[in-house]
Formats: sequence, structure tokens, C-alpha cells
Amino acid sequence: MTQTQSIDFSKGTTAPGTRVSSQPRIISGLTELFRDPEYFRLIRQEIISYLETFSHPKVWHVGCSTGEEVFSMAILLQEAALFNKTDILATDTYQHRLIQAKNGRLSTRMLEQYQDNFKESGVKGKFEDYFNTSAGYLELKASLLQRLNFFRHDILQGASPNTFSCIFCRNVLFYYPPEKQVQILEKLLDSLSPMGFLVLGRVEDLRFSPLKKHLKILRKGYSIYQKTSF
Amino acid sequence: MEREQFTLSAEQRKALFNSTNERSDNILQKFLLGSFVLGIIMAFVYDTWLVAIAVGGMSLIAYFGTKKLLPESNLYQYVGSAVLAIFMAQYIYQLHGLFEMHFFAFVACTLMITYSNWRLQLPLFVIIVVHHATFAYMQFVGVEGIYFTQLPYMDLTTFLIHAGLAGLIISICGLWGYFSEQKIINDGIRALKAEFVLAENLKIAKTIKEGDFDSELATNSQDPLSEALSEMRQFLKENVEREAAEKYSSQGVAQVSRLLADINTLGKEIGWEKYIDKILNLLSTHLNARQGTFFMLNEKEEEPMLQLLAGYAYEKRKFIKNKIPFGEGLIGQVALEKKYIIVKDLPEEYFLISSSLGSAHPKEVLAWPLIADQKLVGVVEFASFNSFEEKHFNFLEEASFRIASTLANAQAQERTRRLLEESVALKVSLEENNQKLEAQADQLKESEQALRQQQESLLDANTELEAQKQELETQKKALIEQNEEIESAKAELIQKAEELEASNTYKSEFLANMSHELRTPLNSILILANILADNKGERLSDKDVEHAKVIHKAGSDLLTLINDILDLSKIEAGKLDLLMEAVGFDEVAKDMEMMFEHVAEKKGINFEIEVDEKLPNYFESDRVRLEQIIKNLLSNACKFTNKEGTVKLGIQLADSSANFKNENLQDTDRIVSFAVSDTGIGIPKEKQAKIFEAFSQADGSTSRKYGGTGLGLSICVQLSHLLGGEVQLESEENSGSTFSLYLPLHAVSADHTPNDDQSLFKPSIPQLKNTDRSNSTILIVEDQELQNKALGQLLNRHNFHYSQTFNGQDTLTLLAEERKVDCVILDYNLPDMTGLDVLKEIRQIEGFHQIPVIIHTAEDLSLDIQQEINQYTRTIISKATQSSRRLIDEINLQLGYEDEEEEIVVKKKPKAKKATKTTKPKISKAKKTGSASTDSTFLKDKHVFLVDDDMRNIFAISAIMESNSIAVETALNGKEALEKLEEGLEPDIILMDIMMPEMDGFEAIQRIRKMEKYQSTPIIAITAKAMAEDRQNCLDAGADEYLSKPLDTELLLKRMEELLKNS
Repeated sequence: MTQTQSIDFSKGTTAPGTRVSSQPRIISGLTELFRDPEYFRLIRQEIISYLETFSHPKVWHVGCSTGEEVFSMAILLQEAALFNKTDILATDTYQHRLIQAKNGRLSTRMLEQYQDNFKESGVKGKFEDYFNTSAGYLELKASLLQRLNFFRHDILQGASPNTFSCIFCRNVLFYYPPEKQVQILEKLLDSLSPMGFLVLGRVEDLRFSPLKKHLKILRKGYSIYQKTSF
Repeated sequence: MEREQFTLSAEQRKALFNSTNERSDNILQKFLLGSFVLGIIMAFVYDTWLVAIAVGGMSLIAYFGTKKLLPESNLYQYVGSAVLAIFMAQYIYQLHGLFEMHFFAFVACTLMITYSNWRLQLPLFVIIVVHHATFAYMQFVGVEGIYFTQLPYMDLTTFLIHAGLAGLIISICGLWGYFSEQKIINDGIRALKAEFVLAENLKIAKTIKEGDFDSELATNSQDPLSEALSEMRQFLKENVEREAAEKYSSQGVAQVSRLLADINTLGKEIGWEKYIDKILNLLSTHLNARQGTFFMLNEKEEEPMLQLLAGYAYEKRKFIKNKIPFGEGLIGQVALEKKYIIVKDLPEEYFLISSSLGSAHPKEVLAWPLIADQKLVGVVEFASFNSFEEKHFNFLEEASFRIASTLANAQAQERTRRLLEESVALKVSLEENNQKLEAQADQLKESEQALRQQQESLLDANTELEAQKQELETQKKALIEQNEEIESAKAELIQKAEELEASNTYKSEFLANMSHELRTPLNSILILANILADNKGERLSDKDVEHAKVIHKAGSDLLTLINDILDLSKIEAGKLDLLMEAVGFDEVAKDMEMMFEHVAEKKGINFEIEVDEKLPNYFESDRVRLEQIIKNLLSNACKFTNKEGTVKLGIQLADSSANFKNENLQDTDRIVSFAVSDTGIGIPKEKQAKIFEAFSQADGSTSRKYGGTGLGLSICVQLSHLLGGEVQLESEENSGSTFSLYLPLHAVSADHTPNDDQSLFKPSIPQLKNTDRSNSTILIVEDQELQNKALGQLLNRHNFHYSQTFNGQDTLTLLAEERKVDCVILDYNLPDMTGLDVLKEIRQIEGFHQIPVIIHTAEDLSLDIQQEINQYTRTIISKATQSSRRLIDEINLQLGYEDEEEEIVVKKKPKAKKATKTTKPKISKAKKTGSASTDSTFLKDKHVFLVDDDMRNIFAISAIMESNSIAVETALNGKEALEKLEEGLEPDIILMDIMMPEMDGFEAIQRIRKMEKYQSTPIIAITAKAMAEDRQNCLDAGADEYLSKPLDTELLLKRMEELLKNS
């Protein structure tokens, strides 16, 4: 993410003298299953098959919100028969979102959208293979849900929880001021094993970042990076 | 009431018995006198005068004498008692023992009862007993005629009966006497008691009358009257206290009100603070408080604060705080709650409660809010050595309300007044300003007058100036004309500059085009020569093959030449951008060593590198260009040095006083030199200057012997200028030459500081960023022969050298022989030992403690084994579809190579075609490099559509395809290609040249992508245009891959295979 694209938190929004917390004021919880299906198509084609070469892949979703992205990734891993040997950690700053995520339930309001996304992402099989839809809401199958770990974690304050083969941090960075973004990215990079993947939001471009040299881009316009340093 | 308090004193007791005594005395006296008289009368009968008069008289004398002499004593009563017994004895004697005279004793007893004193019986009894006993004894011993009597002898029994009965009578009488005595005493006590209670009650009544309700009074709880009195007193007391409290409150409030009524007069007179002080004084005094403080609410501050305004019996500087925010301490809490707080039993360290009243130790502290209209005005606090009581609270309740209301009013008034004053002041200043303005207007009028006069005189001067102006005008016209001339000259110049710019662009366009034109035929030559040299059909003689090889070699040289020309022209056109960074001298040395070690070894010459220790670790430069220069110089040196000779690279601090042509070097005194010296043929003096010119070698004939384009040194010189330095030559014919590159030793600027100490991404080995992978040897340890070969081919495709072993033991033997190995790919399941054991052993071998080892495994390793492996190496790759990609990634990372591919190409649209099930590629015998065939049969019978305008190219590529059994269809330009596709051609893959007449490759690709049928057909763009943006343009147009000419046939086949497998 470049400096110019970032939101300047130091100007205008707060009166002088008031305390500005390091927490971003609003972090959007907007999310859906297979949001941006092209992204997941790319992940499915490139990342999942690469993760197969890791003997014990670990995936970390930073800012997992209510879990839709985690569920989507779990489905891709399951499809590749990789799910049961992968450790999945999902964290967010907000406890209430985690509680919702742990439920594994989604409203049926967006069902059609979800099914379209599901198809466009290129996942084989049926949507019903992964979700129960009977009870008026979608419910992730228990076999998937029980292997997902949701924890409260502040990406800015908290320590790196492990070394991961793949880290999702989509549309989280741009809620932070530039210097915090660098801090967070350094932490993410530090938590990434060599040849591990860093999946950022589309607009979160590292082209001009000082950390660029430790990464190579998988595909322009997608902000999916692979760590090429130790 | 206790009994003891009512023991009677002897006198009281005596007094009680006075009347009894008097009455009895009276009787006794008369009885005794009567007894005397009776004795006399008896004397008449029995002639006992002497006895009657003597004993009777003596008795009377004894009684009355005692009574007279000791009137205060009871003794006479005892004497009386004794005398009665004596009278009885006298009568018995006088009447000669008349038995009946014993009744006298009974009379005497009875008489003594009246005294109500049982002790009085004793003398009577004693004398009777003694008298009878004596006479009985006398009779017993034989004395006769004692009483002149006829009384029979009294035996013991008679005596005892007498004595017993007498004792009984006397005892009864004594008992009665005792009861009587007790009754008198009890009566006396009761009377005394009654008297006392009465006296007490009287006293209570009296105190009540006097209005004293507090003195301790002994009240008799048994006495109802007393109790009633005490209740009455309590009631009266409470009433009076209530009245006093009300009076206290009303008086205080009245005082406060009086003071408050004066707020406008007194307040102004003595000042606000003193006025508040007065109020506080009044409150404190009235509350009998020892200390007091007065806080007003100050809302002017950002946060409402309580400001200390006055203190009672306390110096202000001693106050702990002058301003207290809400909620802080006692004051703040009261302000917050708007309710009073009282603190009792203050601890010794009263400071702990942050009250405003410092270090004193009062008994109680009371903080009271001042509230008007439910709004806080201030807080008062008092400390007292006494307890605060109801009346104080009542008083404060009333007084605080009044104070608060008054102060609130006053504040409101003050605000109004201030506003008024301000407006008045404004008005006054306005008026003043008005006056000033008027005065100024007057002044202006005056100066206007003066100006008018000046103007007139100026008019005169003006006419004079007018004349001068006309003169100037003519001069100006001349100038403008000149200006126009200059202007047109300038425009001409700009146009020229633009033309130049354009010609420059043309030049670079031309260069690009020329390189295309040159490379395309060259491409064909190289490919065909290669095919010929391969001699697949076994039709050529050895000599023919040799010729083909010569053709290939010459073509390669020509290609190098073209690249050099392109480089040189880029530098001359200023199109070469430098990338300044921190360059480590050691790294440069290491790179050079790696590159030239083999060359030198092969040629049998010594190669030495020396780095001056005085140099810093880093300096700022463009590493790629720097190494290009040194490489060039070193390869020249090697080229011109014969066997047994020596080539040496010395990096050291240079003598800054040396003679430099470059200004950069003249200006600085820190210069580094990279000196490449050889023991070769040397260069004659007269030719030394010439060799730096393009296309020049010392001897025109040398090129034939030593090869090379003669452009290298020119490029070196140009590059050294770009880097701010120069190249110098020292040489003697036949003894060798030294080329020295001098560069300014720029310290590393902050931007380029190498981040060595950044723990975050500390590389474990130096990032060589080498591109020549053939410098690295990878050892493949894999027991399955097919897999081992496949890995070898993978490494070969990426230009790595590789060696192979098939079990653990051979591996260890090979490594122990100190074979040069840079990285090991280690299969986990080996026939003789596990990968982990091999790994442990490798780490034991000298020189291989740190060598990168990649564990390659087909099975899922348990976490335990993983952790154990991780102690020796970080990298574990599970065999999967992408494992070859990951292998290359990891090797590149471990050995510090740049990635070959910038990014992965992903097809944007889903493939309509079903992925063809691929059989495992059949692996034929590994070929040496440069083989124009694929090892896979996958491509066999595929259809390739080749679009190229150059027939030679079509021929060359077709030849490759045919030798791999791939069907080829061709088109000469984009237009023709589209037509063929529209006609229904269904190729598996399209190879598209970019630079074509009629319709170029970009457009053709875009159009093909628009045709529904070919949306997903793989397209590889091929171009000779070595310009950076081409690649992106091709991908943007819709191509899946991009390859540049001259074509690496193996790479082409590999890409084709990959794309077809993916689709």
C-alpha cells in the first residue's frame, strides 16, 4: 500500500488535544464467502497446490472478522485434501466477531451470491458439500468448523503467534496510518516462512514498500506475494 | 438504695429509743420506789428493818446515782435490772424464803421487756442464777438458817429446774425485748429513708425549677414519683434543646443573611475575596469550627474546577491544592455528589484523605456543597475538634442555600455588569476613534491642498519628461525588434532540440529494430546449426558436424557483439540508469572468484584476489555495472594470459595524488582502485591509447587469435565514466599489463545502508544475486532412478549443474571427497538409511556444516520427525504437483539467485476444455545442454500454429517442432493468422511473433482472444524487441507467455508443455 493511498489519520477527523488511540476507529467487518472470486481462483490454482509441498502447512487469517474468508479457505484446503494436515489460525481484534465466527453460521440472505462466488472460484463439488442449509441459516460442516481456531489478537500490539506458510491480511492495513502499516507488515513478514504467501487486499500494493525486496509478487493487481527471503 | 447508707449512728439509735426509755424509766423508777416501800412494809411484818433499809436504800442509791452520774449511758438501766434481782433476793430474805416471791422475778423480767433491749435481762438472770446457786451450794455444804427458813433443802434437780425455767422465762422476755428493739430500729430506719427520698425529690424539683437539665441526679427507680420527675425533666430538656438549636440556626442564618444583604455594598467596599472571607469567618465561628475553606466553582477552565477563595484560621499557602477537579478528594467528591460528606474518626495521617485542610488532626471534617437552583456554586469545608451535630447541619442547610443563591445571583449580575462595562468601553473607544478620524480628515484636507500645489509643479516637469519619453520609445522599438530576432532564433533552437530528441528516439528505435533484424536471422542460424550439430539423422560426417559447431560458435560470437553494441549505444544515448546501492568489497571479490576460478583452472593460470584491509566494508556504487567492468577486465586478462601465467585482482585504497583526468577523482581524496593485472602479452606503448576505442585491439590480428569483439574496453571506459571514475592502463610489451579502475570511495548514504543488523530478514548467506546458475552444483540424492533423472532435467532447465547419487552411503562418500556441492536435495526414504541419518552425517563432514539441504519426501512426516529434521535444516518439501517449482524457489533462495520468472501467469477465464489426463512424462536419457528436443512425449502429435513473417524463422522453428513430432501450421502475419483461425483451424497452441507487417502480434492476439473459440488457447508471444515494456504489453494483449529471440529451444518446448498441461 502506498503512502498516497493511505488514509491520513492525523488530519481533520479529530479535534486537537483529544487522545488518538492507536486503534483504528472503525474497522469494517464487511465480508462474504469467496469475496472477490477471482482472488480465490488464483489462490486455488497457485497457493493451494504450492502449500501441498509443505509437510505441515499453517495458515493465519489476520482480521478474520466473522469468518467468511476462513471458511472459504478451509473449503479450498478440504477440496485439495489438505485440510486435515493444515493448522488454521484466525484472529481479530473484536471479540464479538470471533464469537460469531466460531458459530460457523451465516445468514441465508446472501445465499445466491455465495453460491455464485463459490462457482466462480472454481471449487469442484457442490455448495451443500460444505454447508448445511436446512435450519434457516448456513452452517459450516462440523468436520471443518472444529479444526478452525479463532482467537482474539491485536495485530499491532500482539506478538507473532507462529511461523506460517500462508497469511491472509486482506483489507486490514489501510485502516492504519502508514507507519503502523509498516510495523504490521514487518510483523507479518516475520511470521512467514520462506516461500510462504502473503495475501493482501487488492488495493494494498507493496510496490513502493521498503519490504518489497523480501517478496515477489505472484500476480500483479492481486497483491498476493511470496516471501523470497529467510 | 443500699442498706449501708441507712445504718444508724449511735446517737440516732439512742434518739430512737428515747421515748421508750423515758416511758420505761418512769415505770421502773416508780416500781423501784414501790419495791423500797414494800420492803419497809415487809419489815413491819418480819422485823427486817436493817435489811429493808440498807439493801433497799443501797439499791435505790445505786440506780439513781448511776442515772444521775452517767445520764448519757444506758448503764443505769442495767443497774436497774440488777437492782430488781436484788430486790427479789431481799424480799425472799425478808419473807424467809417465801416461795411465792419468785413471781417477783417474772415481774422484773416483764418490766425489762419494755426497754426493748434484750441485754437488760442479763444482769437480772445472772444475779438470780448466782443468788440461787450460792444459796443452794451453801445449803449443800451444810450452812443452815440462811434465810431463817423453813424451806426444804434444794437438791440439784430442783436447782436445775429453777435455773432452766428462769432461763426460759428470761430468754422469752429477752426475745420479746429483741423483737421490740428491732421494730423500733426498723421503724426508725424507714422513717429516715422516707425523709431522705423526700429530700431528694425536693432537690430534683428544685433543679427543674432552676432550669438545670444536665446535672447527675440520684433517682430512686423504686420511687414512682422520682421516675416521673426524671421523665418530666428529660422532656423539658429536649424541648429546651430544640428551642436552642432553632435559635442557633435562626440566629446564624440571620447573621449570614445580614452579611449577604450587604453583598453589593460591602462586597464592593472590601473586595470579593475579603467578602467571601467574611462569610467563611461567620460560618466557621458559628459552627465553632477550627478551620474552614471556601471553594467556588470555576467554569472558565476547560474542565470545571473548584477554586479556593477563602480560608479560615489557615494560611492560604498552606493549602494543599488551590484548584480541585470534580471527584478529587473530599471537596471534589462533594461537588460531584452535591451532598455533604462528614468524616469522623480521622486517622492520624489525615493527609491521606486529600482534604484541603492539610496536616491538622481535627476530630471531624465536614464538606458542604453550596447549591442554588440545583446547580453547584461552591463547596465549603470545616474541620472541628468537636463533633458536628444536627443543629449545625440545620444551620448549614439554610445558610448554604442562601449563600449559594446570593453568590449565584451576584455572579450573574457580575457577568451582566461586565458585559455592560465592555459595551460602554467599546462605545467610548468608538467615540474616541471617531474623533481621531475627524482629526485625520482635517489633516487630509490640508495635505490635499499641498498635493494640489505639488501637482501643479509636477505638471511642468511632466511636459519635460514627455519629451524624454518619446526619445525612449524610439529606443524601445529598436529593442523589441532585436528581441524578436532573438525569439525566432530561440524557437529555431527549440525546434532543433526537438529534432535532436526525435532523432535520438529514432536512433534507439533503429537500434531496437536493427537488433531485431540482426537477431532474427541469427536465431535461425544458431538453431539450425545446433540441429545440424546434433546430427539426429546420423547423415552428416564428423567434419560436417564440426562445421556446424563452428557456425554455431560464430553465431554466438556475433550475438555477443550485437549485445555489446546495444550496451554501448545505450550508454552513449544516456539510457543506462544506475542503481546506486551499498556494495561490499568482499562480495565483489567473492563474485569474481566464483566466476573466474573455473576459467583460470581450465586455462591453467593462477588467479589471485587481494582486498585491502584498510577499506571500509561497503561503498556506494552500482554493483551490476561495477562487476561488469571488472568482469570484462578479468576476462580480457585471462584471455591474453598464457598457461602458467598469473591474473590478479587487487582492490585497494588508491593514491589520491595520482594523475586523474576525471574531475570527480580530482576532487576527492578517497579513491578505491580495482587493479586487474596479468602476465600476458602486454600492450605496446604506442597502442595503449588506441585500445580503448571501439572495435580496437592492440593488433588487428589478435582478434583472430584471442577472439572478442573489441568493444569490451570501450564499454568499460564508458561505464567507469558513468560511475564517476576512470580506467587507466599500465603495460609493458611481453611482460603483462595492469588495468586499474579508479572510483571515488563514496561512503554509503543512509538510503543504501545495508541492513546487516536487521534481525528481521538477516540472510544466512550473502545475497549474491547472481544470475549465472551454472556456477552452482546441486547434489540430487534420490533412489528412484526416474525421479532422480527428472530432478536432474529440472535443474538443467534452470541452468544448474548437478550431480546424482542413489543412496545415503554414496552421498556421504561423494561429499567426503570434497566434491564441490552447493546444495543437496535429499530424498527422505533411501534404501540404506533414512534422510534424517544422512542429514546428520552430512553435518559432520568438514565444509558441509552449513550447506543448504532440502529434504524431499513423498510421505507425510510426523511432527516429531519434522522437529528433529528442523534441527539440521529448515526446508522440507513434500512431493506434490508444485514441488518442482518450490524446489527451484528454495534453491534460488538458499544460493541467492534472483527469481527467473517475475510472476505467474494465470488465465483469467475458466478453461472450457477438460484438463487432459497426463501420463507421467517418460524420461529418456538426459541430454547435454543445448539439445533441441524435449524429453517428454507429451507434445507429440500436438498442433502448433506458428505466426511469423520471417520465413527463416518459420523454417527454424518448424524444424524443431518436426523433430519432436509436433504438427506445425503457419501464417505470415496477423491477418492471415486470423483468417486461418476463422476457417476453422484448431491449434493446441499458438506461437505469435510480435513485429509483423499488415497486422502486428499485439493486435492479432487481442483479436484472437475476442473469438470465443480461442479464448483459452495458449498463446506464446515471441519477439526480438529487447525492450522492457514488451513483456507486459504481450501479457496485456492476452498472451499467456512471452519469450524473446534468439529462442532457447528447450525453454520454448518446456513452456509449451507447461501451458498445454495447464489448459
